[in-house]
Amino acid sequence: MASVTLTDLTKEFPGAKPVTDVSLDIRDGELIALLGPSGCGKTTTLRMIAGFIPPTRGEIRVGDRVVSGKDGVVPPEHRRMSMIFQSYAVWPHMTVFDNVAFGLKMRKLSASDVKQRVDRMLDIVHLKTLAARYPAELSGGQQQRVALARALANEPETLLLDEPLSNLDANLREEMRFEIRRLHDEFGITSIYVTHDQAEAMVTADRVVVMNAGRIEQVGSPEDIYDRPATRFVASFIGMNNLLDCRLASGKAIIADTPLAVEGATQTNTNGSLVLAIRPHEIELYSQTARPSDTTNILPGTVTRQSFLGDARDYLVDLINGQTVRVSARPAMRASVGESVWLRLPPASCKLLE
Amino acid sequence: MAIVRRSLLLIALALYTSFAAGPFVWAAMMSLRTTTEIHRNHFAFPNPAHWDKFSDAWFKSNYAVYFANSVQVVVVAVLILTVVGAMAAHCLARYKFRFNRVIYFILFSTIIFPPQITIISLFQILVQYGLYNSKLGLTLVYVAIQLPLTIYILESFFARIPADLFDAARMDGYSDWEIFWRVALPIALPAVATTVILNFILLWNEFLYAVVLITEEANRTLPLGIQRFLGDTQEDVGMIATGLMIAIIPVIVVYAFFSERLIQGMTAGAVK
Repeated sequence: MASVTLTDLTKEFPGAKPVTDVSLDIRDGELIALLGPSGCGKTTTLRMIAGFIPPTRGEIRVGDRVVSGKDGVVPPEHRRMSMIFQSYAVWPHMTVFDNVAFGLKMRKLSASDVKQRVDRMLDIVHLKTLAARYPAELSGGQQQRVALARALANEPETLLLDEPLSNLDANLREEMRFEIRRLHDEFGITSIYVTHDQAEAMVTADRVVVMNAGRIEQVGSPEDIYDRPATRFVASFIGMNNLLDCRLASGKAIIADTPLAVEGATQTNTNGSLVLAIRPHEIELYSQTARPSDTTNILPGTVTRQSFLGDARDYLVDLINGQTVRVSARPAMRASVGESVWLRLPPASCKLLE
Repeated sequence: MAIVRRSLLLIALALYTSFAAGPFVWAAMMSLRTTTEIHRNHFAFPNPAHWDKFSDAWFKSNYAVYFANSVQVVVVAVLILTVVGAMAAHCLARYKFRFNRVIYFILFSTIIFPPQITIISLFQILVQYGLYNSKLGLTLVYVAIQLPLTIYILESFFARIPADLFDAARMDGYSDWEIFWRVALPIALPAVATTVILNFILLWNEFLYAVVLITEEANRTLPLGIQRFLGDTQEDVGMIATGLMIAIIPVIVVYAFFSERLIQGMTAGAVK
């Protein structure tokens, strides 16, 4: 078990800078998710931690051991880490048992010790009955379980997971999220989990690190990230799809000449350009005739597009200043294209971002 | 309709089989007949069958020696080719280093030279290094001429193995050397078997380099032994056929043993 500390970790290629000054303290036994769109540098960061990519600058420490820094780089095989790959990466020429035993044989354990430990791992990932099978005879989910058993059998100090569920179908993915969290709670291994799926990060991780363009945008608990996004990028990435340009006057956000009460308006610096962030399902939609009784924070608009999604109705509404707002309303709330409507933006749901 | 298609297919297969196997059956029949019998009737069945021709060839015509020489030279050459070829292919397919593609291209481009171009200088080099007329010399030449093609075939196969499989092994504590032997080579086995069978058959039948580089009776390989029955004025057709049959047996054995893997290797790209 060990903490992992990244200090000013940077990777440069000629003409590209996939990771810039990433500093992060990962506590002993913590499961941390690196979340971001493809190309944000999360996988490069993980592969630097694993030792497959030498950093251009910066330091990586595991516990009090420097595994990568000015004085050199420890090769992956000596970092006491295990890794789970998106492609599962189970060896096709070995049985399930041999796959899990492979790393143990390296460590010159006796045959009976190896067997005992492999059996226990396969039991934990519910694959005991398939020990003699070859990977080609297993489903994707089972192969990923083999990879999990193999990684845990080595008793690593750090577990690295690189988009481990992205190749699985949706149902299995949800099941495996909980499975990974369960295994983490059982073994308590410091884990770094790379994903582009925010729900996956929220379910599995203790803390989420949102990355964009090679930099860390925000680090926080899933609740922090969801409720208190620090930047426009984080807000839009976690589903605050509406970023409305506004200006600030006497503690209120002004959109289309209408002052709106907004949470956190007072702390915000008024110099730069500002946006008001709000999730589509937090906006209330009213028809022209049914103007809400609570008249704070209401804006008029015109429906330009609507689509029915089963459990919700999606609307695009143009405000009078031309900005477009996405609203996710109850299925029963019907409005046709071209109809004038009222939007109510509850103050508690509005976040002001620079 | 299905019956028509089926019978057409069967006819085509029968025609192709007789086309491919006919000469072999003919030579097999001749191997049991004397040259006089063959001259009387080229296509008759061996009646009586002269099985003693095989022992004559083996003991009186020195085939035991040729056979042993062939086995020694070809097995060692194929062994070296397989190990060195696989290592080079793995290296070229997996590791990024400066001039990787340049080395690959230079290796591969040597395939375009016909052997006649290099054989005279090769002869000179072997004479100077004291390798002329020796089995070691012939073995080294065989390795050299077949290595580029071996690397070419294996490289394309190794390059298709996902890098994650190697990365996973490194995370498990294995070094590059161990990963080659325990992950890369076993996964590439179908392709390796393809090159083994290809190299074995090619070198087993190799004549040109052998006839130029070997003159001593004790170092002759099988194709040179068959040549001995081609006299200056008269050919001993019956004994040539017998010699061919002796020479072909190991090829059939090797092919039968590796052919399943060979087909796997050739179709691996098609399935995925």
